[in-house]
Amino acid sequence: MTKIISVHSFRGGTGKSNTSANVAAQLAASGKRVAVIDTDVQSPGIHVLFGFDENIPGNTLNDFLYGSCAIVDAAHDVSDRVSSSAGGLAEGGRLWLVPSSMKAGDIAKVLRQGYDVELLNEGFRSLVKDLALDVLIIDTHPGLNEETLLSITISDTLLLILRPDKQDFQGTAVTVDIARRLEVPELLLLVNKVPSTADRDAVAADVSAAYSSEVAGVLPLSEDMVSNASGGLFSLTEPNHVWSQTLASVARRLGV
Amino acid sequence: MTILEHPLAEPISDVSSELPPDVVAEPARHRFRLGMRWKLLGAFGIGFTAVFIVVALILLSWFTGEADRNLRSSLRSVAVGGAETINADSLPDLISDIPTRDSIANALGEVYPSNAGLLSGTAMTEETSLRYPVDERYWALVDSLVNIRRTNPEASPYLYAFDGNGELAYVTSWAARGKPTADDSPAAGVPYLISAETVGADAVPFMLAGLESITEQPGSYTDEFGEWISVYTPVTNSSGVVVAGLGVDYYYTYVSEVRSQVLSTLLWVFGPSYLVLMGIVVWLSGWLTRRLGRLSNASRLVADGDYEVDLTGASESRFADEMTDLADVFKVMVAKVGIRERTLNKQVQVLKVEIDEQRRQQAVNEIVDSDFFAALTSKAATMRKNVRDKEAAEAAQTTDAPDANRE
Repeated sequence: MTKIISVHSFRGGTGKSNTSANVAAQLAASGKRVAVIDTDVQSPGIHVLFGFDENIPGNTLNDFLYGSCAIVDAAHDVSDRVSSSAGGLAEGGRLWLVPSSMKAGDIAKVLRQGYDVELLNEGFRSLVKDLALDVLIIDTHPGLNEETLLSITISDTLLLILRPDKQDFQGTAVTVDIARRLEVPELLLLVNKVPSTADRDAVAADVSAAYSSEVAGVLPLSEDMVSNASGGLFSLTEPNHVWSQTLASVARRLGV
Repeated sequence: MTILEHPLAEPISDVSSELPPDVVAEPARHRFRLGMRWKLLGAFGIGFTAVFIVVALILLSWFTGEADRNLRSSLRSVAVGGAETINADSLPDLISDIPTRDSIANALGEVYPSNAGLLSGTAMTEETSLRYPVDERYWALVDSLVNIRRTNPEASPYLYAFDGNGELAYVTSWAARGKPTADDSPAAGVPYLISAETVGADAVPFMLAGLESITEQPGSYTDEFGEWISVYTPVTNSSGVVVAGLGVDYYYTYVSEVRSQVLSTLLWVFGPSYLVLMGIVVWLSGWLTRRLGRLSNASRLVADGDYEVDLTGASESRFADEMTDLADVFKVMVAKVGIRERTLNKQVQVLKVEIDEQRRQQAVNEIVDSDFFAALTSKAATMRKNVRDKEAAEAAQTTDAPDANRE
């Protein structure tokens, strides 16, 4: 049974792509067949974490959405990114990335014409089937638009990322309510960029109480992490860092 | 509005209960407390007192020593000079001619007439009438001694020699004439040929030595008339033969007076100096402790979380010193700690899970009530149904043709 996880946040800049990529890598490293798909077609970015620049070779999600290829043809095998790390890749573990195009023309087309969200849904199913995935991670576009809500709707698990600030608290509350209306089977919260001076257990307890929802983890605001920027999969390169260890525990929780 | 506050949102300054046991929250907890000002006063007071005592002892010793030396030098001069003025040629004859009164047992009225006192120019008393012989040689000697006394009013000269029995005895003293300054002063001094042993046995060895050369009786001695020092010197006749000794007593009280005077002067000089110095110490300690006190009060305020405390008074000084440095460093420290606490408090504010329930509901309603959401939920239902159907179909296909799947 494939698990579809939507990684979402009310606002941009919460660390959604970074979390998606690292969770995907951790799950693959643990021996699962994982694909991560960048549905933030308006402002894609996760590909950078897997070592791609803006000229992504081969097909992208955009090619699938406009009928140029099958979605499986847009899936790039990035297992070597995990296997080359110190921890390596457990037996059976595979990782694919379905990136969105960084080409300005492709992005403009999406903005101008939109796309068939039903097709995207079909694409998810095909990908799961064709690659025999254990886990499909959907890196969504922030906010509550039609595409995002659809992604949320078809997910088994919604991982909502929020930062500890007033706007995120408020927007997350709305997203939580909407997700519940959409009857998402599992809702998890991930608090990111929490000041290192804060008691993270207490933050988890407070957030959990405020939203009546499980908090999968509280990631500290890390200068090391920030300086890493989009330079790679931090949880693999710095496995002993508190950020990495917290993220690994989140991945384990999601992989259950 | 839902607000959940993180535990760090508690006031950071309210940490008294978490202080280690060895940290004193309030100075009052010290059982014995002596202010810095009193400590300074005590230390300087003891220091000044010690210095004053040492200086006073040195000055006192020097002044009294000097007075003693001067007095003894003067005494020797008087004795030597006085001895030269005495014509003692008649003394041996006088002693052999006129026996002591005791030795003739009241039989020689003409030697000691009842008007002896009158003859000697002094007031007549029963005692004086019996003490002095009526002999010009005797009174000539007395007059010589009176002259010495007139020249040196502090000196008490007297003559001694060996009597007819070969014992050392006093011959006469200046006081046989009475005090020159008082007309009615009775005759006094030693009676004629009174044994030296009976008057002052301690002095006899020095008196004997004084018959050979000038001899000073060491130290001083005290009798009913006061404290004295004495010197003895030989008296020669015109042939240069020693026929008697001249003893001169000096009032040693003078040295005591010098000592008292020095002490009095020292008190007058040191007393005000001591008061002035202690006054300076009081002022200085007050000045120092006032700034320390300001810093201490400021520290207490800072400990209570007040970082806006005014430290101007503690750091301002015309001439910068260690206290100024401390105050400046403290000021910087307070500012930095204040900034850190404010930063922490800001972070604490950030961690408040604050949700406006009214706005939340309003935003949810706007989405839920939209046609888009209605369509979405409908579409979601359809999609889920489709997924379930497809999965069911795939499952059935798998069950029907397991071998094909394996291929």
